[in-house]
Amino acid sequence: MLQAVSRKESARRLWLPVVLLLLCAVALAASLKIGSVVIGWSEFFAALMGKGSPMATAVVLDLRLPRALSALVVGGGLALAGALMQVLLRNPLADPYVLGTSGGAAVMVLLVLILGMPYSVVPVAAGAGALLSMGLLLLLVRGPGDWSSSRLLLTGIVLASGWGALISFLLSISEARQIQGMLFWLMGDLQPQAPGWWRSGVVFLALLLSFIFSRDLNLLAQGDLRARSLGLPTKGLRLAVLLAASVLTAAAVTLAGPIGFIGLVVPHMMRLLVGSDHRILIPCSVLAGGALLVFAELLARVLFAPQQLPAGVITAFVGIPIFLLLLQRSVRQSHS
Amino acid sequence: MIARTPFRWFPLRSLIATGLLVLLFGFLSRYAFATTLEQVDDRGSVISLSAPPVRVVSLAPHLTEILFDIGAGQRLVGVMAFSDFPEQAKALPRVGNHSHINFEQILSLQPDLILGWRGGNRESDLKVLRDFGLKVFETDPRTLEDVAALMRRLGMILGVPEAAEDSARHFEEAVMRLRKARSNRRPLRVFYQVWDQPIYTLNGDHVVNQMIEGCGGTNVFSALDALSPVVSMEAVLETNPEVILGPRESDQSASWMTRWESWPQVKAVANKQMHSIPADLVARMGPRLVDAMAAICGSLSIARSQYDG
Repeated sequence: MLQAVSRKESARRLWLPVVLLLLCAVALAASLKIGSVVIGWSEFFAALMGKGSPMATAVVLDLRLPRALSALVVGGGLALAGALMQVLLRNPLADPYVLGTSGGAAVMVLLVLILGMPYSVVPVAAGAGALLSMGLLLLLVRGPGDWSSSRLLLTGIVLASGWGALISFLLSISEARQIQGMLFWLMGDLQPQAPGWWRSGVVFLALLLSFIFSRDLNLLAQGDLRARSLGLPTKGLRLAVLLAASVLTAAAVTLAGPIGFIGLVVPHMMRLLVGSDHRILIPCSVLAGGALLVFAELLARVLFAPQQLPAGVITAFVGIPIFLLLLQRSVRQSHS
Repeated sequence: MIARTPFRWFPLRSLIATGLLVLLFGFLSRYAFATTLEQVDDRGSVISLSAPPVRVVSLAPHLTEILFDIGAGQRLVGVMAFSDFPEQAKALPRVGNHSHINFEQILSLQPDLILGWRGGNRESDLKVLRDFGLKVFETDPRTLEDVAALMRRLGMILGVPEAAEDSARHFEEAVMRLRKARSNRRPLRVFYQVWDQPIYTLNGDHVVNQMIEGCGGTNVFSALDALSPVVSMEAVLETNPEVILGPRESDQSASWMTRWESWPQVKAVANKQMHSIPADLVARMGPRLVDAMAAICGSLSIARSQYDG
């Protein structure tokens, strides 16, 4: 793994972060410029300065900007949460939702919608549900000794399928009129609101901590035995990783519902490009996840405009071909 | 052996005789009982009834409402969830909801007619009922005219054509009065919001579009392909509607309005022309559609006085 850094990979480790940063910038700019309301370049720059026509200024600054920033924060946060989960569970199929975090959030959100509460309660309910699910998981796996990945994973998966059953139950008892709104939330879509300080803060803090402890993550990824033999307090570290991933997922879910795919595939994509050294993998995943979701959000708005798709549908359509292509190439390279 | 031969043939002969008799009786009864009723439903199948049904199951709230309106509500033995109008409907047994039909319960009710709704019931569910040998009359009303026609057709089937004719005429006259009262000035641009998260609206094929036009408005998203498309907030801003109509829940709340209040760039918001329509009325293709239309026309005439003075 770590030892087997090819020359190509080490070169990529230098330029990929720069490219991804540029990609984020391009995605943000495109997402501010393009939309149903056509805004010319001069008007666009005026609007950015807050000096355009009231309509253009409002559309760019109050409508497109908050959504684009949300997409950046959510995408980055989910990619980071996915990378952490994959280390924690040592399972390539792990994603931010595998342990039931999004299921708990979804159940609470559907309850709120069935009770007819105002939509402003939904993010609160999503956050509460995600944290509730995390608490339940911790309660179930606590006890003496170290947690094995498989025990954590199995408990989480059972918890998640329990939430899934509750979701089906809630969907089947709710009124037909409400169902479309519920399904849209379940597919994952960005709310028209800014990411807010605490969500951006959560993602930034988690990124910082993961970067600082990335050497420990590298060791943890190689297995408990090896990590412990090198003197790593694995139980504490794994608890910290679980907490960080869960809080990141909760923050993302409050803004965008369970947007799929990013948390699973972006870390894998980056691993194929730069190897599995978390010092470089983590920043790259965050940048790539952010850029991908900003692009997906833009496509969701303009592809069938004025109709709008859930951004979660686009992430899969865009990401899956890219991922399969990378996978094919890496398999071919390792055999040549 | 010889003695057994006629004995062996005897049952066959009697069978043939019985068969002929049954056939004859069948033909006779076809002409003798002129009350046998045949109606083609909206699926295109012929439903024939020898007598007006007395145990009816309705698979949609609006069908329940129509039955009560044409004076045949007391024949209902089962209704769908959310059939809450009129008051008597609330006491009837529920046989399912939009996602699930309780077949066992329907069978145990022994209905002689089931009223299906192609817009809401699943095709496969209706087929299951047909395969049980139940008579399923499928309906598919899409316009105001369809609702009046459906009242008359159900009146024929249930043997209450006069009462149904009264209901249908009452409905048509109410619609006509509302249409006549509309202004002849330029149509107001109306955005009809069904739901706010996500924002979804209705296209030109929906009865709401017909009602908006009947009240002197024009639906800004009438040209979209999907019946109830999800649209982006920005698309709504671009059309800059003069009136925004949205649902009012049974507790009189219309929480969707708060979101628009921060968008004074929209003409409807700047001029305070956001109005709420009772959600139940609009969603049901029944007699109370005229109340929905009256509410829409009322909102548009308030808006008219705001814009045209």
